[in-house]
Amino acid sequence: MQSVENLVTQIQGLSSSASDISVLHNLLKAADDSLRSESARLLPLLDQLEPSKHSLGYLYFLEPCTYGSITKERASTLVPTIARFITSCVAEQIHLAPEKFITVCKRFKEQVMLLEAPIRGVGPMLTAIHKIQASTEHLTALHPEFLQLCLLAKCYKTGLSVLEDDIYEVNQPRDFFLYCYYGGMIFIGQKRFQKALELLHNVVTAPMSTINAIACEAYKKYILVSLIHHGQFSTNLPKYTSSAAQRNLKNFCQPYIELANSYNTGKVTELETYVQTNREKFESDNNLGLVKQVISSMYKRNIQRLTQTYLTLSLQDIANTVQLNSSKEAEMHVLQMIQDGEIYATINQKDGMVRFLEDPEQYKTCEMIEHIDSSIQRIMALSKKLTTMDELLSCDPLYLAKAGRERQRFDFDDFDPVPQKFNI
Amino acid sequence: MDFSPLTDAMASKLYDKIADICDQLMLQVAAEGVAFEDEWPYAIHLLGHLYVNDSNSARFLWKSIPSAIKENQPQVVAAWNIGQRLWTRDYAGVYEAIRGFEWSEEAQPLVAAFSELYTKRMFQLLLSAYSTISIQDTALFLGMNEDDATNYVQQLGWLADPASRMLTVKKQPIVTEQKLDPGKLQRLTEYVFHLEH
Amino acid sequence: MEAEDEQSNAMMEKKMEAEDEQSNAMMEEIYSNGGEESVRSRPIISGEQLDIEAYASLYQGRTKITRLLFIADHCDNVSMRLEALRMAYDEIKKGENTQLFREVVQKIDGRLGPNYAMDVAWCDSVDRRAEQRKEKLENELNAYRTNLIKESIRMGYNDFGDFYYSHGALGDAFKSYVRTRDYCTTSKHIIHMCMSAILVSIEMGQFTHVTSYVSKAEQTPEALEPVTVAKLRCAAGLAHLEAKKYKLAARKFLEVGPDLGNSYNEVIAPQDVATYGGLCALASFDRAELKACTYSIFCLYNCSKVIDNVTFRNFLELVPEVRELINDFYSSHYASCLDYLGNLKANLLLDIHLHDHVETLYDQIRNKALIQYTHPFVSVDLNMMANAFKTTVAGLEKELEALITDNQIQARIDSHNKILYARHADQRNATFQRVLQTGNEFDQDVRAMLLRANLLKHDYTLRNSRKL
Repeated sequence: MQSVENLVTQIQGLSSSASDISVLHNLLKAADDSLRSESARLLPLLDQLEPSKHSLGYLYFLEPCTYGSITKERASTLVPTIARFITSCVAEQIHLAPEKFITVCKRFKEQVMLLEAPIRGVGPMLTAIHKIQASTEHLTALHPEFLQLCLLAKCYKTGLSVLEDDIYEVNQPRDFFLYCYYGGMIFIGQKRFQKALELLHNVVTAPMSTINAIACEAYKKYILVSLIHHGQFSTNLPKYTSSAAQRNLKNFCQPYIELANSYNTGKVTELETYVQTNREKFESDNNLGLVKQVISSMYKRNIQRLTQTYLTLSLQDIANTVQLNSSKEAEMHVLQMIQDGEIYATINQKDGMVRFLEDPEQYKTCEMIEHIDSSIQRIMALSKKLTTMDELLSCDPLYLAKAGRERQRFDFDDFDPVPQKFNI
Repeated sequence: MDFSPLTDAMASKLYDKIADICDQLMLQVAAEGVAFEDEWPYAIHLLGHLYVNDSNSARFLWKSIPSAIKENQPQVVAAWNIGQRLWTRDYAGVYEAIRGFEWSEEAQPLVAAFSELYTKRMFQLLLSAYSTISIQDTALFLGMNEDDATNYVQQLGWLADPASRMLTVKKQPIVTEQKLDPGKLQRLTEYVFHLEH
Repeated sequence: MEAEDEQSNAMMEKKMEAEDEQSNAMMEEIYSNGGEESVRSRPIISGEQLDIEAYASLYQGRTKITRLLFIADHCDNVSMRLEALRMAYDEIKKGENTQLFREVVQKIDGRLGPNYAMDVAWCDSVDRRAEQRKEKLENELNAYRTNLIKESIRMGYNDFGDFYYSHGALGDAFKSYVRTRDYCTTSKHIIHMCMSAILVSIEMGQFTHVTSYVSKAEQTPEALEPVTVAKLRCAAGLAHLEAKKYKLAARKFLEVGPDLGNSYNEVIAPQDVATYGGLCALASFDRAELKACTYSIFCLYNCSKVIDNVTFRNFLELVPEVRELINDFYSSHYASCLDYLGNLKANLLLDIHLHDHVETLYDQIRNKALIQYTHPFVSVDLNMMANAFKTTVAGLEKELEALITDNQIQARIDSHNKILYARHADQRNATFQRVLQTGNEFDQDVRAMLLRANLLKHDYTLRNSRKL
């Protein structure tokens, strides 16, 4: 049993080459318990270590310091230390003790929240994610923490950088749920409703044995974003949704489903009345802003419907059909829709008319060909991935065992067990 | 705090990079635990977001500014005023907000550049959205008085009818070069190969 | 037979040629359709009152009574109502249905004088006789059953059926008729059973039974007589009409042909076949089918003229009106066609089978007219079209908007100049759009699927590693 001071010397000595590091690692693992018991003494000793050179050792010393209840004063000393560590540590050394690293980062986030300055944690967390990730396709436990910090600090744009990567590997379902939920909220904040829908959809349809609160909240937002982006919503969940979700989600989100029904009537006044009467419910769920966006999207939906029937229409008629107060208001609505690219039209102020045009895209330009090309390549890569995964799964022993047990038996030979291992 | 990247960008008139530079700097400084709020150039930061037409980020930035700063720094409030008009699509109000404040020496070139950019953007919008428009509305959208506005658009080919005070928009045909790339043939072969297997 | 066929084919061809020439001339007249008053060769019905006596004489048996009562219930005109009730009373007294008698007396409410009041003595005697007859039938049936003589048992149940039917116990009548099935030995017996079941089902309004017994009758191995075939087709047509399957109803009615004559007037008159068939055809057929059906209607019209020799003013005129209606529609004289329909409406609403469907059929015919009017044109002036359809431009715009939204017309409205432009979707662009969209959906779905598989795998691994 080495004393902590001795350990410091060892760390300083054994941190240069890969073989030294593995020796050091074993030493540290053996000393783990003693480190924990002496956690109070460790903080000043950290000054003798360099995070960029002695990352592994530093980590082992740092982690016990974060245990126990932290006061605000202690947090204000710890937070910059951890931030500096995260920024300067070496990724290879960290990968030897990933759980410790993640624990440190999680405590870091809690302390940042304690200090009520979430923005202090955003930068370091982003760095931490990049360092601990095995690849950009992996979801770490730090992703949801990072996104939560972004939401609280209102750094939505920074959160986007992490969300652009596609995730394929997940270790913990809980991380996944929170990641998708927070990610959905960030996309909503940036008005990228299509991506938000994708993430929220993933939460709602994820495999789960019992319903959880995250899925409920996600479903509520899913309904609202669906109405804003697509103008419609169907309560039919896809077949692959878990039975727990299919049975229970609707019960928890009743006011939102009724909102969707009211939306489908196409009458703005009905919708507004419904929202007014249920205002507190929406407010307590923090969804009032979204609900207001739903109402304004209804005007857009109604105007878009007009483009299907009319070639030209007077502004006054538009105002009457869509229940706006004046033709000037109608003009402003149409102008905003043209600006956002939601409609193709020209306004003729002289005659007070709007002329609806077809989508000018002729699909003949180089850019369009590039776009189609890149989509095709993306999809080819995806299908290759799918085939690979299928092949991998067919060789997985656990899967084979289960499939072996549950397969149909038509012949005597079928009653033999599926071989679990090949003994040659 | 080291604001050199920001000052460099301002000096070289790279206004579209300001928002990103400010964001990054802010995160850096916050991670070091420095209390930066009092010294932070919020007005420039806001204007940087508006310059690249990102009213979402501008709005979130405004929400995160402490109320003490909002009370003590009128320039920040004025910058947000512009952002608010943009957010609510009060097209004419943007110009009022720009002109209704005496900007500092630092902010002045940025505001001027933004104003010019905004006018161009508005003009593009009018070009794509209107076939005829009253002179009065054009003046409002472009932030000029009626005569200036009429001259401005006439130079770009629009026709004015002084009797009805109407302008007829002239669309400018956009020509882009279409190039064919022999590399496409290689790609098509790949696709067929993929489909066959 | 063949000579007749050739003759009729030749007739049909000539008729079609004539109509084609007519329609070519008509096309040029379309623009002047609503503008000038074209000369009419026959009088327009001005909504004259239904001649109830003439109408009722087309039918016999229970349907006569139910139709009269229906007219009495749905007519606005008090004198017509009383007339119908009076005739119903007389007819009922000829039969043995005391329930209906009580009903009609209540409806008359003494307004027709002492001769049309409650006749208790008649009721009692009818009821007494019914009791006696019923006992007799029961005894006979029991005797037959113990003797196990199939034919007699069958006739016994049949007699019961007839008995219940004439006394208004329709449910019991149906059951009795159906019970004869076990004792039928020839296909004639089966046909008889089916026809009786159909008759009772129609009176009861249970048209699902009608459909099943029609198919049962049509399935007999022996060839059916043409009259029976015609009757079955009428019944099938009525069932389709009730089920709102107007196209099928039209086809059935038009297949009926002249063999029907008056032989089915305990259910339906040949004028009805023509009317129902014609209206349903108008509402649901396309132009080619419509052309073919005018010939069938023509035949029906001829036969009814031959057989009926009393002047039935409105109804005889009704049948040629139906043919003229179809002609007008086919030759695009929509204004006059819709005018006629409007005039016929009041009388059609008094028909027991058509009452519930008049509105729907009329709406469908009007929509069809609108769609057909716009179909051949690239652009249509809405002012002229509004004239042709005797409506305002604003109202027409609303109607067209509904049809466009429903995808029945592919066009768009230029509200500024009041013109309707045909719109042909650009297939190429639409295809590209769909392709890109499908690509996106595939992308999203596969990524989500890979994620879900991953989650399941981890969950499963976790559970299994715990077991191990």
